[in-house]
Parts: sequence; structure tokens; C-alpha cells
Amino acid sequence: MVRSDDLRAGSSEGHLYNSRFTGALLLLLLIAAWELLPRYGLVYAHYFPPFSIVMKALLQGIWSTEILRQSAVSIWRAFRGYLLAILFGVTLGTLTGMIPWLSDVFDVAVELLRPMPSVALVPIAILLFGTSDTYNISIIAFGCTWPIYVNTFEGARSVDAQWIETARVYGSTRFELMRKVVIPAALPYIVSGLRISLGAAIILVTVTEMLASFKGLGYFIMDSQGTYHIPEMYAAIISLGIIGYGLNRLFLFAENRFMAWHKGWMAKSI
Amino acid sequence: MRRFLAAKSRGILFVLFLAFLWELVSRCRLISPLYFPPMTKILLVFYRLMVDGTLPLELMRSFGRIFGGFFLAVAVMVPLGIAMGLFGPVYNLFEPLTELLRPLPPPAIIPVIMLFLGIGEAMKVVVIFFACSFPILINTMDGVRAVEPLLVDTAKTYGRNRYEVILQVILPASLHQIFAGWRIALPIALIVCIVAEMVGSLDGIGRFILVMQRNFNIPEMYAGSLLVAITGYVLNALLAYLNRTLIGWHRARFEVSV
Repeated sequence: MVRSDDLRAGSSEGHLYNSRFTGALLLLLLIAAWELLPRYGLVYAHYFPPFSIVMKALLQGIWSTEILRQSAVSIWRAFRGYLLAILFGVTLGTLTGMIPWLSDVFDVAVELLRPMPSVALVPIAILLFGTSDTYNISIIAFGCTWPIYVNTFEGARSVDAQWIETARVYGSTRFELMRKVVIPAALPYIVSGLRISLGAAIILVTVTEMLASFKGLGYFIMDSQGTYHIPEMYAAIISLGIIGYGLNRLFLFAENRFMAWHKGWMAKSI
Repeated sequence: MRRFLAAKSRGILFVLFLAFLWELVSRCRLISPLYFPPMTKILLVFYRLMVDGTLPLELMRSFGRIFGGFFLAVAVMVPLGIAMGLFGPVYNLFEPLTELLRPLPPPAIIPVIMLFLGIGEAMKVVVIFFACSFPILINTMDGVRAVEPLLVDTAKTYGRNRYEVILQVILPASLHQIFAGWRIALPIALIVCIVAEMVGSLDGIGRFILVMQRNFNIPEMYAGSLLVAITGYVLNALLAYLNRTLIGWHRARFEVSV
């Protein structure tokens, strides 16, 4: 670690700017600017309403359940797409990681599809599924599958060959091998793929809703902008940020809670 | 080349099989060819649009925006990331702000930027800049912080001053991590650019795909998506190649030395 003191002349322990105080102060200043600049007409208040008005719109949106309902629609779509991606990604990744000829077969197709920006598929998905939830879910599932797949594949390939041999010697079938050895051992890789995909799911649900949906936060943002309900638009964007932050926190919490056994398990088995 | 083909033969056969399946499904009208035209037709239209310059022109317009936003993000966020990685007060100043803005899905700010900047070039460049900023900033910061203290101490013992240490030791030693941030950011730039063009634009490849769908020029729409897929693939391959050739020396130099 390079400490900041290494590069500065004198140490400055205990100074105010070494605490998190300055960061909080900067945020407060920015919020004050957000409040005051539009109030004094320094930015166009119609496009950039004061912070208090945006907060009021947010609270009203929550109170009238409008924002809560739109959020629920978005989260439910994102959740289903994400679940499908886990199903595809983990299954395909484990199988190709375990079976070399299978990975040979899928390799080129995966390398062609993986870097494809999923938003380029939006018009195709609209064509095939209309503006139903299937459209959002298919795009989310496509975009989220690849990080999970790649990480699972890496994890499954790096499982200690001795473990697999041992399980074989003790007569486990291929399915048992997959379920009891390969997937548990690859779990840390899988989890990091899951985490990348969670962020992607939120982005993709927003994008698909912005482009073609009649419900959900993404739609609500575009609709508020189009109908000049500007405080509501900002309120919806803030809610989206809160959802993103909250889901990430929830993920970290679950990871700490449920992955703690893994360290002990790996250590014991070596 | 021959060895490459031998190793990939099964994979290539599988892709050809999928293409054949596509052709069959469409020709036998299992899915309406109106929505799902045969592969050969898509490829023909793709070839025609590439030769007459329509697709390359749209792609070039998108590329201008992508690289504009990306390089702007590099120019601002790499120095900021170095400063945040090295100096506690800078880190403390900006960390809460970045943590607050980071969970926001970048496309969500498109409508806001549209209010202020309309649907011109500036809107796309700003949105792409925003989307690229966080991966670049965070990777630069982590890279700088992970530099082996021994390297820094050695340089200081030999009488290098602060700026020399940053330029000659810290920057080269964290280059691979900084580059990793660019590798994450560039595909994001491509995605966000397409979204921004679909939401509000008069041209660009994202706009092209959407307009073709709305006008029911379905093979043209698929051709546009195909070009985006190829672009994504080439970009990815190029970055992997750059990583090997430009950063390959890095591991040998900085990990052996410790």
C-alpha cells in the first residue's frame, strides 16, 4: 500500500481534511447549490428544480404509491431476467467447464455472442415479443448470462483435478459430481459473476423500459420528461439510484452471510 | 492459422449449424420470415449496405461520440484516480460523491442531459463520459493503491522526488490495472452510445437499427444489429490484443522485482 504520507513532506494526522468530514461537506455544498442556483435563477429552474421540490416530488410519489408501483414492476422484471441468466449461465458454464469437447463446440458461438451489446437486440426483441414483459426479460437474460457464464466456466475449469478424481473413485455420478463438487468449488467465481450481472440487470431493465414499455421506472422517467413533469423525473432517477445501491448492499450482505462457510470448507479440504 | 482452424473446427461447425438452423426455421416459416428473415437474406442486405456506405457512415458517427466521451473520461478520471489513490484528503473529499453517483444506471441520466443539451452530439458525449467515468476512476484508484510499497521506498531511497516517483514508479506499476478500467469502460461506451442514439438522435447506428424496425425494413434492422455485434467483437479482440502486447511486459517487470 502506498500511504499518502509516503509522498507528502510532513504527516498530517488529525487534520480535518483527513477525515470523511470534507466529503460530507462537499455533498452538502452541492445540495445547497442544487437548492439555491435554481431559486436565484442562475440555472433554468424548470429543467433543474430546487432540491427541496425534487424531494417533495419523491415523497409524494412514495406516498401516492406511484413510484413504489413502478419500482415493483421494474424489480420484478429484472428479477425474472436475472434468474433466467443464472439458470443459463451456471448450467452452461459448469457443463462446458467440466466437459472439454462441449467447450470446444460452444467456444466460437460464445465468443461471437458475448461481446454483443445487448441493447442492439432491443428492436429485434420488440419485434418478436411486442412490449410485453417477455421483451424486457429476454434482453435482461441475454445481457446477464455472459458474466455469469464466463465466471462459472473459469471456476469450473479451475477445480482441483484431485477432487474430481476422488469423487469419481468414490463412485459419484456425473450429476453428483457437478452438484456436490464442481459447483460448490466454483462458487466464489460464480458469485463474482452474479455481482457483475446484478448491476447489468438494473441497467438493462431501465434501458428496455425507456425504449419500449408502458410501465416501470425507466418508462416513468421518459414519460415524466416527455410531459414536463421534471421534479417527478428527478425523483424517479433518485429512486433508481437507491434501488441500485440497495440491491448491491443486499447482495454483499447475502455474500458475507452465505459464503462464509466457503473459506472454511476450502481450507479444510486442502 | 491451420492449427487455429483445427482447434476451433468444432466451434466453427456449431456456428455454421446454428446459421443453417436459422435459415431452415425461416424458410420453412416456423417463425414468420417477416420478423425472422433467412440468414442469407440478412447477409446479402448487410453486404449491400456496407458497400453503398450507409452502415459504415452511421458507425463512424457513433464512433466519434464513443471515443469523444471515452477519451474525455480518461483525461479527467485517470488523474483524479491517481490523486484519490495517493492522497487521503482527495480521497475523503470525493469518495462520498462517487459512491452516491455510482449505483445510478448511466442510461437513466439521458433524459436529464437531453433537457439541457437537446439531442445533439454534446448530449451523447456527456452521457458516455458519465458512464465511462466510474470504471476508469475506480480501477485507477485501486491500481495506484496496490503498488508494492517496496518499489516506492526504493525509488525514494535513491533520491527520487514525489513527481518522479509518481511518473516513473507508480504510474508504470499500476498501468495494467488502469488499462483494465479502460477495457471495462469501452464496451460500456458502445452500449450507452447505442441507447442514447435510440432515445434521442438523428443518426448513428443505434438510431439506424430503431428506424429500420419502425419502418418495417426488417432485414436492414438485422444487418444493423449484425454490424453492432461485429463491432463489439472486434473492439473486444483489439483490447485483448493491446492488453497482451502493451501490458504483457508488465507482469515480468513488476512481479519478479518484488
